[in-house]
Amino acid sequence: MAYVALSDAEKTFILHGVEEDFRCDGRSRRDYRPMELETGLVSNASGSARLRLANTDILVGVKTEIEVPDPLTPEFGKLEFFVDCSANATPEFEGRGGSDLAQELVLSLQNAYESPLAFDYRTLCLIPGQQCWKLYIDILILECGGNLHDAVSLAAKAALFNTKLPRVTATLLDAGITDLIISDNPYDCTRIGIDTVPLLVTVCKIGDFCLVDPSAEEEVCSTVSMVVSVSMRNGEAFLSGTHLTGGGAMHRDTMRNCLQLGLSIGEHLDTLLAKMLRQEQERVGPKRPKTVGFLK
Amino acid sequence: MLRVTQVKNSLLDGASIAEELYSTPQDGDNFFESLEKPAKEPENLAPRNTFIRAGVVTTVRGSAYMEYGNTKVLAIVSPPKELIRASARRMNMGVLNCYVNFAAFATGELESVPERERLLSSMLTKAMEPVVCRTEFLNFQLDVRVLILDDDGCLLSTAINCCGVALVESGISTYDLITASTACIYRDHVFLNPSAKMEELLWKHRTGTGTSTGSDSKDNTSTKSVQEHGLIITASLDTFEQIAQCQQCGYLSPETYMKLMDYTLAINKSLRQLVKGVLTARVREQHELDLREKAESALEDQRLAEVIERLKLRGLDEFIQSNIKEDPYVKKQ
Amino acid sequence: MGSHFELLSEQGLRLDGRRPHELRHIKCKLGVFEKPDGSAYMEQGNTKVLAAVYGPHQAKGKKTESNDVVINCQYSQATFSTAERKNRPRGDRKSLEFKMYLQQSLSAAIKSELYPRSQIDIYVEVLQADGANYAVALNAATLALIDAGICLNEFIVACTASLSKANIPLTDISHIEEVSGGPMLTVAALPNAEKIAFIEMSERFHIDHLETVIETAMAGCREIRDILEAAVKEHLLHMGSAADWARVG
Repeated sequence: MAYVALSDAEKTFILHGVEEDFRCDGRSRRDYRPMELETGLVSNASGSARLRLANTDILVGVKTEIEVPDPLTPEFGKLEFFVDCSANATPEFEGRGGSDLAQELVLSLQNAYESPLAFDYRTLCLIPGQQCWKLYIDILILECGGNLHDAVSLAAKAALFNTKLPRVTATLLDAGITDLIISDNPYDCTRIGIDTVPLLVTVCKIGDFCLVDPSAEEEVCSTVSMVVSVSMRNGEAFLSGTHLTGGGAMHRDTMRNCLQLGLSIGEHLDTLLAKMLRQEQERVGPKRPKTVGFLK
Repeated sequence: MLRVTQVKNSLLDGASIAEELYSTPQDGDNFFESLEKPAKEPENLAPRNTFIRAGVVTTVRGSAYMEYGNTKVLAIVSPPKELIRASARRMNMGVLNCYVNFAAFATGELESVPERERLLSSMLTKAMEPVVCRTEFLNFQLDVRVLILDDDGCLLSTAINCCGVALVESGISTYDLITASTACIYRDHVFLNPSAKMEELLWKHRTGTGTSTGSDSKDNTSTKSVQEHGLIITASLDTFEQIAQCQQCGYLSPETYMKLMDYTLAINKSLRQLVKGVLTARVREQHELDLREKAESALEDQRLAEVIERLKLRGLDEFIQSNIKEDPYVKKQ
Repeated sequence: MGSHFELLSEQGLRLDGRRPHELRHIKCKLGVFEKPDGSAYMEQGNTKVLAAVYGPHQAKGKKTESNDVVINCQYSQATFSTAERKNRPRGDRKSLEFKMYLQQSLSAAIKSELYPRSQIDIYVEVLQADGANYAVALNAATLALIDAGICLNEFIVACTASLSKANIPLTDISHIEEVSGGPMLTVAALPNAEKIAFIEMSERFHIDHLETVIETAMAGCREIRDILEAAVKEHLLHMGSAADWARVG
């Protein structure tokens, strides 16, 4: 994360705030900062979303390509993540400066989306064993204000929701080589089911307490944080990936608390995101807002 | 003397090699059926047959070699050196870099090696950061290199154990002894310390996990039991029961997660006894080596003194004086 | 190399329905982000560009010797910005070329003598590329510099121009017109002073038409300058409305 310099007095202030369940901006330990979500900004991409979580600004674009599936999983499509830390966020990201952070985010996301129970790869299959969709999820980090894992996973999920896969009708040529015809009609498309798609929740340990959605300053104060990937299935929360970051260690009981907190917050976030996406979807026709994207 | 693991190497059998080259989803199912499945609640929470030796490489001071069943891993810790990338500088801590490499013969599937190396390196760095006293080498970087000689599952946990021993051997300050182990669950069976084939089954043959036992695969909403599958690697510092890293992949319910984590913590405790034993034995060995060296050099000094006495008796004082070079670092008596 | 489409139909309309001298619809906003000293977002038709400015701050490394300002640019295109996915956002030949062009143009606009031994970083991110990428990037960079409060000699604006088969000059080329094989001229100019800071051309056309095409591009620049000026004035009005210092000239 972009490095913020804090004095000891500031750190103590933040620590006391967390203990009293009243953080620097007035939130409780379970509150998220205000979020803005917008989908369908980039017309060259099959799906896109922009998420603004206070100071953190993420833009995600999803592009699709047709490829041959892995021979061991002939009915599964493919997913590839790419994170780019733009120099807009901080001059340290110029050139290849942000590659470490980008690599870490990619690995977290890959881990979370690995299981077929988290993301149904079968929906990306076209012809089993021969052709499948490959989705490139490209994440652009425009501003870093702390809590990148959460913002990135939320934006990715919204972009997947927004992705329109053109409908394909196939014709079988001789010798078993299939030829695919893709529909030109922009409204003739299939969508991807995102009910079980996981969300990453960062649970940060500051002092003796755990909190979610740390700002950049709070991240500097914490010794260790746990990134929990929560996936909802049939109303129950499942874990599709966890790991610890931050260079510290935590007790087993603290870890259990973090896990519980992460799961409940993840569940809450999921319902909130689903509601926001439904609202976005209904904003068509006369309800379409005039200002869009960065022009607001 | 190095004790070699006496385990039958099934790959030497020519017939079985051909089988492993082309694996299909059907093979995965067959293999699973053929496995001897452990009980649902494993009683015997023990690590595999382990062999650890500290101090195996002569070029570097901190090194360790570990055999965990068939998995063979070598770790090297070089002394801290000046920070190369100034952008990685932190205000009050040094930088830790871990690099994992596979030997060319370590694993059968070579395509996925670079990606696995990257993943393992980043996970290893995350696991070792809590245990090293990074405040001791401010503005310096510590490089830990791991070489995997044989892949039979549990790579990350073996690498963590090996690195922990190598760190202590090299004299870098650590907060505690770190131990790690792996547990996985597949089709409702818990496997502790999964082998490479088991891990491959977990990741490659994922088609098996989507369908529940026997019921209609499309109608997933009605089936109550979700086919959980997943792997947990826990690295712990047991003096105060701290967990340094807990990495999970797959799809688990929270109860299963805690259960698997408890299994790994138990295995870690027994591994810790082993590591302690190895390190104390090593210290004793070093001490004996020191004593022997001292005795030998004392003997050497004595012999030289005798030679000089004899020469003095024959009256060859000037000869001796001209041939004895003065040690410039010793003050003149 | 013939073109696939006729750039100008018989009715005098281009491929997207514009007249030959019409610019695409421009929308812009200053002050999009908090962290950079200046930032701007610019849309010209379907091309969307974000620019951020950090500075002036101490020059890094050996560059502290010079008495002039050090201008450090970066041109980066998002991987989803083009129809075909781009593997690397920056570092390829085209991006490095555009980075140099940006540096060249902006050094003509910034009052270098006012910032000795300092460095100004300008980072441009193209979110959607639909023709005239460099021109829109430069326009966004100008707005970002103004938002950062860096002294400029004048607005520096860029515009593209081309020539149809019937030798009618066209202003503001979109992507599909670019790849149709017609010539493309990019001009970055200081419109009031009527000076050209940067000029680049691809393909070829007869030298007799060169003057008209350049003049077309300059006219386009002047128009864009007016639009940008109006946007800056509106931004100032909005920013200074509380203390009422915005009413200037």
